[in-house]
Amino acid sequence: MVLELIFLGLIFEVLTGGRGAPLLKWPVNIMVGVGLPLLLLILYYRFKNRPIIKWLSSVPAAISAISFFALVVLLLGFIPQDDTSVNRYLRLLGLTHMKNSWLMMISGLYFLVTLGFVALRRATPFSRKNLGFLLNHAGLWITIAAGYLGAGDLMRLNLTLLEPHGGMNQTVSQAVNKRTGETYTLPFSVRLEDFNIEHYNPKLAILDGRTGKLLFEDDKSMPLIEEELKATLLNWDIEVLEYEPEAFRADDRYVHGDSMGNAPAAYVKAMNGISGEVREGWISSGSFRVMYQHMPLDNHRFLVMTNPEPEKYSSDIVIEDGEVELPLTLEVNKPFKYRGWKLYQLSYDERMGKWSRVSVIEAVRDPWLPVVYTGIFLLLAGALYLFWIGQDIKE
Amino acid sequence: MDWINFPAFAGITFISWLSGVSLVNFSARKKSLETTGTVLVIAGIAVLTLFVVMLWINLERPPLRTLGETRLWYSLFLPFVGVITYYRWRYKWFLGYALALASLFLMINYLNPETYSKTLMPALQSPWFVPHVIVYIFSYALLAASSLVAVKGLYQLYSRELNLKVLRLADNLVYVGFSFLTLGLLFGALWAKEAWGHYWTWDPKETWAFLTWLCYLGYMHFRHFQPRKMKAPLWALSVAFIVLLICWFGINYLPSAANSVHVYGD
Repeated sequence: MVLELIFLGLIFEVLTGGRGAPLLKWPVNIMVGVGLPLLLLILYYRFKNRPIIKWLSSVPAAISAISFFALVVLLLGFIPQDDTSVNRYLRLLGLTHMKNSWLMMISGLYFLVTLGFVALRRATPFSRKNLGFLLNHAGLWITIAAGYLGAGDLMRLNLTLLEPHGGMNQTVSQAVNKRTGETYTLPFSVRLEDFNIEHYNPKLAILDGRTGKLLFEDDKSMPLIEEELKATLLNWDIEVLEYEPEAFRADDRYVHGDSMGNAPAAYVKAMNGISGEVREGWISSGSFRVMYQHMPLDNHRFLVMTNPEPEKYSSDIVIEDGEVELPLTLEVNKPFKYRGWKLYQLSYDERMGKWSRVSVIEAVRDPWLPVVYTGIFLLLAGALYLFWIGQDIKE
Repeated sequence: MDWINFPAFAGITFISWLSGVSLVNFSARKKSLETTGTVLVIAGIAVLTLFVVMLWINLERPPLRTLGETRLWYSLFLPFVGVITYYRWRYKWFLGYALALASLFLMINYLNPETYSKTLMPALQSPWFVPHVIVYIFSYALLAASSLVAVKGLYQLYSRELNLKVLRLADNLVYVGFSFLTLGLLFGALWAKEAWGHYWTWDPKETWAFLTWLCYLGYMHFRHFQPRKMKAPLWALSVAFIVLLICWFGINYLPSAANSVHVYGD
């Protein structure tokens, strides 16, 4: 059975020229979403004693469906996806775009058919003993079906917003689908009031000039730089004598400044624990405006300051929707829901770092999400049930 | 408290585990020796717990980000599973194996020390972070235990003294481990929706986690289908654990995973 299905999947893929299975969109997906369970229901009640239906709702069928699905996922896990340099025969067979290949669609469908039939078999007549079984099987059915069918209606769009500048404040409702490059007009518009970003202090590290890689020894430590920090890297005892988070270079030293593009800089002293050699000097991670500066320790090793990593960033935005003006703050991990869209803080101009005037917002619409979540919550309940059963088997 | 003090803590832990397990296994049915042994094992776990707590405070973030940090939690949970299993079913050998595996992971961390980086990227600063990783590591500890049982079973099978009890123990561990695996996977999906905009993107780590999940799902169904067959499920459990290890560590070396959002730290 599985072998025939694999063969079928590969044939479909080749016949469609390796373009994959069509993504089901509204209203086709909702029709399949309603039709497939109905079809399974009717087939099951009309023909439940036929050998084929009996087999499809059996444990061996479940095992074959799980193995088939696992095989497809295994290929997906091993073959680099969406990589144009990969062999064109692999592409023709759909192996470079497994996610929407015919093989994936057919294995998913087979999985849903066997899973559906077995759930129906256990559901009738209903008994409380089967509750955990049904939570797990129905939950999985709903999650996978809704996830697959919903993919066609999923919209993930990027909005690029600019901070107000010279009295101008741009309002944006045009969003770009980053996958297809198409533009889409949102039913509301957004403007950026302020983009905020905080960084961790930069880290102290030793760079091998020959390989261009950071060196570590025993404790692989990369301490955050701060005033009066004392740390040991390799054989060097290092002391930070001065630290200035916003500095620019004046002659042979770094001084504090308030203008845009200043970079963190530190005056450090390093003593070799073995030879007793001492080095002193400025280091700076640099920025688009300030030169990067390292301090040589020996022929090929340098003490460096890494680029500060962002700790958190957020955008103060205003949603404009007809008469409505809605001010809010978007932060990573804290999206905002508005009229069926979810808005996320996505990125900013990394080259400009904390002076970025750009904030990129992602707008996501996924009408099938409530269905997927229904499935997920059934599965969560089922997992807890399984936990108790696991306990019971011990007796 | 940071990784520099790790050798001291790991050393004390290892010595108390080693002496504890020796007492338990060579107690020759003397109850008092067995109890002392158990107490020593628990003391070892307590010392390691203390290290994790102090590391957490020192880093000012949950120590769950890098592979080394997850190995640390693993060395903590596996003995925990071992003690409970020992307490419940009196499997002395199992306690020994669990502690040996945990010690191996301590050893890897000792030979392969980690950064004590305090930074945590914004996407990881989420209330989901701790439950997602803890549930996963706990599940991995249980499933590793089930694989140990399977290896023991295979040994017995080939020396023709296998008893069905071994598979029963493996089943118990798989059921509990699988329920935690499911929780970890779903917590991850719910978190991803909040942080990255979608609950499932076939990120390589997601792909391999799903594959691991399918392997154990297959095992459970096979056990249900042919409860009397021994050889196939024992081998299946051993192989499933290899998939799990690829998902956990191997992912960092796979060409298909170069752009994963899950590859950080190391």
